[in-house]
This record gives sequence, structure tokens and C-alpha cells, in this order.
Amino acid sequence: MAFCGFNKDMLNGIWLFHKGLVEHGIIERSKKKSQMTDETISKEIKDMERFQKELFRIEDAEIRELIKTLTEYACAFYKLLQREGVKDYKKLIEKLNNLYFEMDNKFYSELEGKPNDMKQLAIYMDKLSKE
Amino acid sequence: MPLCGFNKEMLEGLKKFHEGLAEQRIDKSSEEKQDFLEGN
Repeated sequence: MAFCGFNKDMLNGIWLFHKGLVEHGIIERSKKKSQMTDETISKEIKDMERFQKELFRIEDAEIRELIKTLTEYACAFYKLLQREGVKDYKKLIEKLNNLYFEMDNKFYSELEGKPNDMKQLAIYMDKLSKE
Repeated sequence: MPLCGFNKEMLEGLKKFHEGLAEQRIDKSSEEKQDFLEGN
């Protein structure tokens, strides 16, 4: 991750996770329910937002935080998927993997230990995400 | 995900991701320890 370093397994893992979110979470579900993918995405986002409001019930602080952030991650991914369109989801997944890889690569190969390293990294990520 | 359903692939993906996080951390700790021992 940002700063722990992404290895091949992690990138492969996150690729599978994204793929499942789209193919299983949206495409299969839309077919089953005979609804448009856009509708399914909106419903998933709403459900996850409702779920987030109930997470205070999980006492274990670290587990609660993991579930919270994983749910937030999936929400953000679905919002991006909705914006970019489900049709090209494989391109989107590749783009995300590339962003994460480059984020680490830039930090470890160039910025680590330099003044304003995080600021420079954020600026770099902003630029890269617009390409 | 919560509520979109986890399939086998997604669980496998998360497993790889978590394993990667842990292994990278272990590798890093070993490097740091080695650096410390070598006085770097």
C-alpha cells in the first residue's frame, strides 16, 4: 500500500477483488434481478452507506475500522465504476492497479526521505489520475 | 463486500492482499534490523 510497498501478489489480489466487485457484485446481480447495472450500483452504495451507520456496534476497534474502510473502498470503487461505465471495467481495474503500483514506485525510488515527500507524492498522484 | 456479496475470487484476492501486506512488513523489518546491526 502507500508506503508498505505493493508486491505482485498484492496487485494480483486487489485485481481479483475489483473483478469480483464488478462481475459478482454488479453484473451477475443485475442479471439475477433483471435490472440495469446502474441501478444495482446505486442500490449497493445505498446499502453500504446504511451499513456504515451501524458499524459502531462492532466493539473491536481494529476490526470495526477494517470493515469501515473496506466498505468505504468498495463504495468509492462503485462510484468510480458508475462514472466511467461498467462496460470498460477491465480498463478501469488496470488503471487502478497501475496507479497503486506507480504510487509506491515513485515514493520508494524517488521521494522517500526527501522534504515534502508526501506533498510531492499527492501532487504526482493527482497528475497521474488525470491521465 | 458487505452486502454486494463476496465470491471466492474476491476472498482469494483479499487473502493475497493481506498476505502481501504482512510479508512486505516482515521483509521490511528484517531489512531494518540488518541495517541496525550493520550500523547503517
